[in-house]
Amino acid sequence: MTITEEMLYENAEKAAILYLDKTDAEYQSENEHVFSGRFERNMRKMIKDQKRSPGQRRFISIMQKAAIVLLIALAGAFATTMSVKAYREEFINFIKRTTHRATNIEYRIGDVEYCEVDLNKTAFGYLPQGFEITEQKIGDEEAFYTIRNSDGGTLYIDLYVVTDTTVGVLSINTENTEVSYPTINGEKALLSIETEGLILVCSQRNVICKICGIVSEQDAVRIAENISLCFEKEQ
Amino acid sequence: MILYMSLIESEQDRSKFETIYMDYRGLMFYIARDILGNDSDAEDAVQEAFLKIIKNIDRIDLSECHKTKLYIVIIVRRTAIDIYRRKRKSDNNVPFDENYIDEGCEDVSAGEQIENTLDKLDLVNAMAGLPDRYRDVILLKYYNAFSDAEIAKTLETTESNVRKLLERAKKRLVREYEKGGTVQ
Repeated sequence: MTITEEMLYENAEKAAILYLDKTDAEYQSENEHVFSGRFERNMRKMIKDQKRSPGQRRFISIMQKAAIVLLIALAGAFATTMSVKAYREEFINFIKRTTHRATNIEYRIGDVEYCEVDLNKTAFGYLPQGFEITEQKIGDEEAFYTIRNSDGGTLYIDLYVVTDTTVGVLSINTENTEVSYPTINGEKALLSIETEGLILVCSQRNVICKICGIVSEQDAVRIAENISLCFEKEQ
Repeated sequence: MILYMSLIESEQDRSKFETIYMDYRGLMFYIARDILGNDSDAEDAVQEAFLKIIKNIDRIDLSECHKTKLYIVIIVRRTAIDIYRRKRKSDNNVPFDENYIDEGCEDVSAGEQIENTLDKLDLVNAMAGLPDRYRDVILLKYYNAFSDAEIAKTLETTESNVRKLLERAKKRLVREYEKGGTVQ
């Protein structure tokens, strides 16, 4: 008879139970410990935190790693240096720089069919079942939407208008995430998926859209594809 | 659907955490107090262990009560030992016999010894009676069916360290088996 891997597997359960029984026996005679108030308070807090809406709790984690979008005013008369022809030949540039921890994207109007957009008239043609917009803050060049369902699931959609005098710089922590670059409505997008949720960044003309939350990849893409922006006039 | 499933999983996890807390906090406390010697440090160890359990809650299947208990016992014992070490660091004390990787090498590889003919003793007793550091890796691997990476994460060490521990645990197991291992 030899000690084989199979024997170890076969005998491990009995060995574990024997060890656990012995451990139990050691403490059986102990009086029940009365935990301190500090311990009880801390544990109540821990349990309460565990009971918090999973979507929100996970989302906090996502947001800590989430994208930072900055619209930076360009120095100089960027637009005036561009020819009308150039404006019409190119679209928003999607410039990607990747480090071991982050993916940085720069949206810059080099050109464009630059359009004014009225963010107040934005419509969401698709939201996952049960979700509805619960909060929104809409400005001239940015809009923020909070979308929730009754189970505590939360999605955030941000829109940023890149003008001829601004550049959109976006940095996403992509360490330990699965990053891909799908095409959405004909434009290159960035999709970063981690176990706790995803971030999708895409663009329509000169508007950057960031979707962040616990949602399936398919739903996120479908939301993005069905955002209807009201572009008013082309320059 | 994925969102829905994600919420269900979390609901289960939340319930799991409360169940573990109610069922095991007493045992966890006594194990920690045995190592640390006082109630206050033991409570800190239990709390710290629960934080580790939260992070690994998906590894716990409450329907496998012995596996769950073993995992929790190992987590709290290791946590208490870590606290003990931190507290004794300034005294240069090496508590227990946890210097496992620096233990003297043995000449014959575990692989060779494991193939030796051994038929007279009780393997269950030998496994249960291994020193903590060896029993932890053996049972996590062969009972909880953890991968080396999962064991490394549980014991907060490296996979290479886990492989060394397994190798040495097997050597020790052969020795104990030959002697007629008993639960210490």
